[in-house]
Amino acid sequence: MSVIVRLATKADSKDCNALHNKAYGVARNLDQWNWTFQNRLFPDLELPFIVAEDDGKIVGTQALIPIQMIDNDGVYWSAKSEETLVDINYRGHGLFEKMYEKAFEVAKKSNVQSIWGFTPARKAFLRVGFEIPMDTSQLFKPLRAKCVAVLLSNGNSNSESVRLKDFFKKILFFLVGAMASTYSNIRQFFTIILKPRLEIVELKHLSSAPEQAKKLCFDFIAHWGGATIYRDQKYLKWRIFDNPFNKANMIGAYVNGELVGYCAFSIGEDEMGYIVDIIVVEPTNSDINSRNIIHKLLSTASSRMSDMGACGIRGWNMTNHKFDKLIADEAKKLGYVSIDRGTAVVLHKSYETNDLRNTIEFENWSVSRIFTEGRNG
Amino acid sequence: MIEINQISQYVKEQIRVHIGICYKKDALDCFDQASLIFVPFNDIESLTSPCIAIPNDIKNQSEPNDITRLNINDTNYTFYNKIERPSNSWEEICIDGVAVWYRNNIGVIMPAWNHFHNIVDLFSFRAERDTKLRDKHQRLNFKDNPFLIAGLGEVPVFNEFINILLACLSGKKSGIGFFPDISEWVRPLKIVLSHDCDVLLGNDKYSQIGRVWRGIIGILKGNFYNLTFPLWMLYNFFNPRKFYMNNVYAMIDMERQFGFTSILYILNGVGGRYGFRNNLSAVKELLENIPENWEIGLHYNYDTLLDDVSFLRQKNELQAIIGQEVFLGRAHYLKFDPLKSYYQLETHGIRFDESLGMPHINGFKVGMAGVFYPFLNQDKKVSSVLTLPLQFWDSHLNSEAKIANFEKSIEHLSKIGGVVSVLFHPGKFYNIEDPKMDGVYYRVLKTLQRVQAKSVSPNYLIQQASYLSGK
Repeated sequence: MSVIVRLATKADSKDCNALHNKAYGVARNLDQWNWTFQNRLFPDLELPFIVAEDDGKIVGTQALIPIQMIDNDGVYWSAKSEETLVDINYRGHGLFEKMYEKAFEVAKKSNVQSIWGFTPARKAFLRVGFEIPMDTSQLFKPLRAKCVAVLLSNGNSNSESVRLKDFFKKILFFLVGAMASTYSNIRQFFTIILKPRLEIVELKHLSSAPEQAKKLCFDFIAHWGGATIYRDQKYLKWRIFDNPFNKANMIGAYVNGELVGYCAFSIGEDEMGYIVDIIVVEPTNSDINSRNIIHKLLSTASSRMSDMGACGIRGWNMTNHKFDKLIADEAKKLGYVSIDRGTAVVLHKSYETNDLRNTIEFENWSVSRIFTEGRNG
Repeated sequence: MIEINQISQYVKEQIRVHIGICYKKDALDCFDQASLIFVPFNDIESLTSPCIAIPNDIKNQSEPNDITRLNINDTNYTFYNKIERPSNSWEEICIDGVAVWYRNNIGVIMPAWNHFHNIVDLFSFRAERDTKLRDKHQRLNFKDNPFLIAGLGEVPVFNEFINILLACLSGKKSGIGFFPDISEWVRPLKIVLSHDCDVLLGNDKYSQIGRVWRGIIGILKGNFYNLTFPLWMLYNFFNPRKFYMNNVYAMIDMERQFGFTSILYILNGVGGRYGFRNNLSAVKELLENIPENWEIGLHYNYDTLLDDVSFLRQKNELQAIIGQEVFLGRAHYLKFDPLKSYYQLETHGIRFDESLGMPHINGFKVGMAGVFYPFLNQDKKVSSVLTLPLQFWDSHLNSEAKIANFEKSIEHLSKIGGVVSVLFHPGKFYNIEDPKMDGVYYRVLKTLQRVQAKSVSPNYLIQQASYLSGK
């Protein structure tokens, strides 16, 4: 075995995509591959994608997706770890470590301050120096009886002996789902009728990335602190509006004509809805506060996903960031529940970089599903 | 003779329109540069230079004959109504031993199948002309249409013929045989999504009575889910927009996710069991909230078939609400007479119509997924109404087998090119009374996304067709 590890070129895209499709049994097309890995947000880094190649055959991949982060000290580059794959016949030969050696070189050269991602492969990432600050967890709103079955679906066994068990499991999930959705809908009903209608907050559909996104993001960090993805117009255009998998619907909240927040939501496979992203700042010269705006955005998005036939709605909520805590608080009033079920967050910021700056601890990041790879919006 | 030349010109135009919309420029150039002629069968032997000669005077019987399916370059093609070889001196160009083309020693190539009159019969509604039988909604029934009874409604025979023709032209030009792979020429599938907005509020008396009726029938048929009808009667009484008007917005939200747009065909006018069930304020409310790139069309009410007064009254009422001219439409219940209705549509300014569909099955009523100008046989003239036959609609996507058929058809069309029309009613998109339809529209859009289909507007199709046909 004489495997070489190198940076991929555009000519490798087809083979890299094929390895992914084979591993996950999906049919991602090349447009989707290009969108994911060539977002062109980082001007000097054309294709930060590492491949392991054996005799001309791609047997491993590791991508870094350049993403700008923002904190009170300004904007800096990070990278999202994605597309970690090693062909089953090549596992146990240290290919992952070798690919990450190359990835760290790329990160150093491009002055990427941290690499982060979400993965079930804890041990492998710990081995190459990543830390696991926490696991992802989520907010979940049950809308229909089948929501629990869909949320927990892991594929059904075909074995004869477990059929009866599966049958009872289905009944149990259905009953739990029915009860949970009844509770959730009643809670939302009372919350909405007891809240003032907040006519001053005007919601509008955003058909393109708003120009004010950059200001909104700076205001967000100035008010709430911590760190988050820097969502300027260019980023939102790429991540939401040009997304070839699923372009989330985006509603903007305006107070006195000023954009004070937005919520992006979508429906995915299995009739599950997703709160992809939500950002709100404190409006100036108004009696309305950010809590009211969050309520209006969340309740509208939830109703629209319910109308789209969603059986449940998922959103991420995991850190101690002030804004994320407020979201969780308002979401619970609308019948959302917290579920600690997710994968490991992996973060690495101690590899050698050229121009190291202080970065915020993960527990003070504001994290939404916009941190995911975007298949469900 | 004048007449056959005129019809030949018509057929050539429809082929050109289809190629221009569904194929890249190279294909259109190849078609334009080809020596392709339409001639009487008996004149073919006397041709003295190489060309593709399509016989234009062989009439078909009303029932399709010699239906044959062949696989070429991993794609299935259906042929029917065979033409005999002019003489033994003609070579048969075969696939699996079945002739697709004939060629003589001069280099004249002719099809082994009567494509010309197959197209003329379909685009001039031969089936409707051959019988006066109609169902209670005045539509030609499936069982009275020989083309559909023969199973040909399941395949886009016109699209397949164009693909075979272009392969032949390409092969002839480059000298690489009759059946080269021309997939590089095919543009991404084009789609026109639409919603017939019949019922916008679920609390009208007809819908409520319908629920009671379905509950009673449910008991007799052993479908006890329908017994939940009092719940939904009550639910829609208090929340009439849920599962109806809200679904229109929800479908728009879902379409945005995939980068698609759609047409809303609005029903208004006279009320009744088969007519308009809501009041005009519901229509106004809906139209106030429709985003910019979603088009508004007229859903010709049940009473408007060949009735100019009621048609015009309905159209004017809708135009008054939206403040602009309505030029696209589809008939409610597909109650439409292709032999007469086009005159009415032309008179009243309709330029794009999607009424040619099959009420009882999904598929290709006139053998095509694309747009064409119908041939009005009575006056031997071409209608100015651009027609997109309806191929797929919600009522026939309510089982796994039917969805699988849809996926198969879309896969097939993405290889040979076409324009697909898909209809989803608001009440079918997501309705607790019809759980079989849960998630179906999402799957439909996902299937279209997988083949990288592109949404197109009627305006785009009208402009393209008009330019390509030189109108």
